[in-house]
Amino acid sequence: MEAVQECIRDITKGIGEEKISVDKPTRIAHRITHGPEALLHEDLGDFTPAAVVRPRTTEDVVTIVKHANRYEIPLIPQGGRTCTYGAESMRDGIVVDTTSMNEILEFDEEALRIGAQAGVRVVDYIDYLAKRGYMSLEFPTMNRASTLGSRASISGYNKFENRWGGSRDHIRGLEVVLANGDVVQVGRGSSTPTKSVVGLDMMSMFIGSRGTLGIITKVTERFIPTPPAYVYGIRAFNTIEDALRTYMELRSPINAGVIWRAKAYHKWLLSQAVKGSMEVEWPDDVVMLVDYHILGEPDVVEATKKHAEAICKEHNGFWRDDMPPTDFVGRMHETMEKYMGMAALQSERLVTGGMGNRIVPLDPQISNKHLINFYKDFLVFLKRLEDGKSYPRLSRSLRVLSPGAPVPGEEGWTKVWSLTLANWKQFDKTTIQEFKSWFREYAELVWRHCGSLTGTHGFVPREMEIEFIKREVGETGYELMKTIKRALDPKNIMNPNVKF
Amino acid sequence: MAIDRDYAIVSLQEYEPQLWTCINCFCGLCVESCPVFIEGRNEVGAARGMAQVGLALLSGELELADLTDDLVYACTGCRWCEWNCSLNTPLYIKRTGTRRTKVSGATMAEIFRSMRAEEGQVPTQVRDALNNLANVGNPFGGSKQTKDKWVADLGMSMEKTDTILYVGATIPYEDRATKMAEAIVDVLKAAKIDVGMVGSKEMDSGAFAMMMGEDGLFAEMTEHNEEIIKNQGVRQIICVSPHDYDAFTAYYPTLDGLEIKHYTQLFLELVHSRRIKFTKRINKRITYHDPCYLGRKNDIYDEPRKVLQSIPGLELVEMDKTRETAYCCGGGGTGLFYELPKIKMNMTRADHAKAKNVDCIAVACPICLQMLDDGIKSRNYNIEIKDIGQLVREAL
Ligand SMILES: Cc1cc2nc3c(=O)[nH]c(=O)nc-3n(C[C@H](O)[C@H](O)[C@H](O)COP(=O)(O)OP(=O)(O)OC[C@H]3O[C@@H](n4cnc5c(N)ncnc54)[C@H](O)[C@@H]3O)c2cc1C
Ligand code: SF4
Ligand code: SF4
Repeated sequence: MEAVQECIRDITKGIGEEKISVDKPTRIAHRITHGPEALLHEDLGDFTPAAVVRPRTTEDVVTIVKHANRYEIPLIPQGGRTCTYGAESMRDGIVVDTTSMNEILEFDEEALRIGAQAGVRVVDYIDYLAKRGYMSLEFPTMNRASTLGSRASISGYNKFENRWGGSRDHIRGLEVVLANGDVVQVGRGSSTPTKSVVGLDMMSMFIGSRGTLGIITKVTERFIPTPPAYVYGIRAFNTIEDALRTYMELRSPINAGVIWRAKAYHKWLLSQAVKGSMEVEWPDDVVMLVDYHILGEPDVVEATKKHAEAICKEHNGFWRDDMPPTDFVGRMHETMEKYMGMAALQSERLVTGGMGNRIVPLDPQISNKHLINFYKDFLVFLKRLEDGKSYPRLSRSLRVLSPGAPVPGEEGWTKVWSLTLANWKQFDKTTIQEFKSWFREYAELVWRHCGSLTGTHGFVPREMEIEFIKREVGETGYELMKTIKRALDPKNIMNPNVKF
Repeated sequence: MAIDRDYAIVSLQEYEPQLWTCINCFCGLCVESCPVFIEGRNEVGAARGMAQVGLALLSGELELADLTDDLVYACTGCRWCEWNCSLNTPLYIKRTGTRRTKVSGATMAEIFRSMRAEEGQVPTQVRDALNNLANVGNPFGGSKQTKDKWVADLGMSMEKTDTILYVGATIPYEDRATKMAEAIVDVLKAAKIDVGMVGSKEMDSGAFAMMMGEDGLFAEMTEHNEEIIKNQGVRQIICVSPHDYDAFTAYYPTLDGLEIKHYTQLFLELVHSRRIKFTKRINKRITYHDPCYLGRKNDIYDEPRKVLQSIPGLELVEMDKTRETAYCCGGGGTGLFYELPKIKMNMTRADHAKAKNVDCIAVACPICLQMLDDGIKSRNYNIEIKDIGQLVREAL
């Protein structure tokens, strides 16, 4: 019997047959993700795993990992599979579907800490806190399908990043099953009293590891009381310079305590969005919009609103009657939060009833110093995608929806959140080759502006990943990562197609 | 009769753009609250899973024989996925969305079932129900004489009437459903509503046949029913079952112009016009279970609640999963006839009610009534199940 079959047999004995599926339809249903990697493979069979296991407890995970380790079978952890890459499965691998580990375990109102199994959906976690008068800091747009474990695993981006930071800033503890089956508690606030000042900060290593170092089974996060007041504002600008300077000032650390979020939108997106959904022509001279969200005590919010408006005014911000009402971006967001559907709204499906598109997201992280120049160069780069000359095949199968909505990343850095839409059915060999060349050109542009390719969860084609990590962290940096990987997972069974 | 294309079950080939649409998007919003997923924890039975299976069937990577009953017969057609799907935005529905072009797990399951039916690979329980539908017009195989006698015993007219009460195929062949219909008849009599019935001529509206993937049989039944309705000079149909209400409103183009109502809609009118008057109190804490075919499928959420709220003393409490997000009782699709070991939606729903500490679950569908009654009994909870008709009669 093949090793993988023996491994499956032993796992079945260990966790019970109701928690494992080997039938082909289930294996097919678990092979790909929301991310674009699948576009680049003509045979999806490459992704079909040998089995899907559904652990409910940490003990189940330990059993699974120990058997996989013994037989050297790859394990691919999956949550909601809404990531831009990393949860794709592989032939002869075993998928660990974490979504049945869905219990909230601890809730400590004194310490403002909550502990949950890794498969709890973010939406349930947010609701749990909201019902008790608290607010989750974990708040991705995609909250209904994504899981808490994957927030740590991808180092997620959250709605109020400007004030509170990303997932790495509010995850306080993790429980992880390592490749040898050992269970470790890392970070503060976990049930074992570990402190960052004692020994090394081990938790950070797992954040962003995308399942390559172990399977996260429990997450402890901090939360806050829901702030009593909230205001939203939005202004229009005639130039990229004015808009981006406004955005940078609104989100600067000096305001970040009260301005929880600021974001800019380009007319390339807006004209498609309002035409598609409201049948309104976007005025051509309105190049960008910038909006902001202020939360806190009512008097502080009121005062900050005046301050925010003064910043907008200083950079020639305005609103006019020929534009939709000022709440339209908010409404667009609500629609998107309900339907996740910018791609749906903008696909040929809306126009002809044809099929929707696959999103290819790019989210370079750019230093604010370079932001304006990068943004202009990026627009030129994206226009070349659509001109039909530079990438003749690709331009028929990939188009731009948003050339980048700048949102705060690290202090002093901005994530330029951009979306292109692919027609998957047309992705043949030539298109795939052109896509890869186009992606290289994109990477060079980002690096020219001292940026990083993946602001938070942006996509990098699998075959380029190692090369690109080395470009960004250097050979020595990559070797250090590899040394850690080898020490923790010498047989390379933990999500082996990713990073290493 | 060849079935009208718009009403036939769409073929896998025709549905391909919707399957691609789903796997392009891959947002997974259809997964987390799909009752099939919640019960079995296996995504393959939710819309995103079925879409991938559908495409694998088209590419030849899978064969029909690879699809287990757990996959083909688990979906209850609850439409949660269809309602929640990223790609069925209201704007899309308004512009180009139709029953054939919405992304829907229910449609995918119907397609798989009709492929199974074509190959003659149908589980015994479903085949028996289908044979009974074809032979006697109801899935239980109950005789026509039984129905005529029941109608006659109720003192209802089977002659030409403007308004008929359409009791559907489960009545009078299932005790609990029969009692529900009798209560509704009593209320209508008390309100002095002139309503008749069609007795044994009444066949299933086609809803069962459609859910089981037999659109040929569905076409025969709709043709038969249309003829009877026309011959009897009917102008208004009051449906006991939300499934029949849905079938009449969605799949009977020639009934255009006829008024079709669910009985809870009529009851609310009668409460407003004071033809239903309550003299007794029901001092109970009651929750209302939204039938999927009344709620998500047809947007009828308020009328049943308002009828309940008009009963003196009755305290109406909502379960956590309610209205648009209500959990299915498990009786849709083939659930009433074919139990799958992993699917126990009726028990899960009983747990939802138990969590609210209620005395009674109110329903508005003969299928929900049977399923939830079984669920409560299996869980051994001390909760009553009553149809709104029964509660209203009690308070008259
Ligand atoms: C419409 C849309 C909007 C989005 N908005 C945001 C946003 O605002 N912010 C943001 O950060 N992301 C966003 N995303 C991306 C995505 O939702 C996040 O990356 C999310 O955290 C992924 O969660 P998941 O449960 O689907 O993970 P998956 O896709 O299943 O997995 C992600 C990675 O984590 C690994 N993994 C999963 N569970 C575990 C575990 N228990 N232990 C170890 N490794 C594990 C997987 O192997 C994979 O590498 C969005 C996606 C979509 C489709
Ligand atoms: S109709 Fe209901 S049961 Fe069927 S796939 Fe959709 S959500 Fe699941
Ligand atoms: S919600 Fe719709 S588009 Fe999204 S995965 Fe489910 S069926 Fe597909």
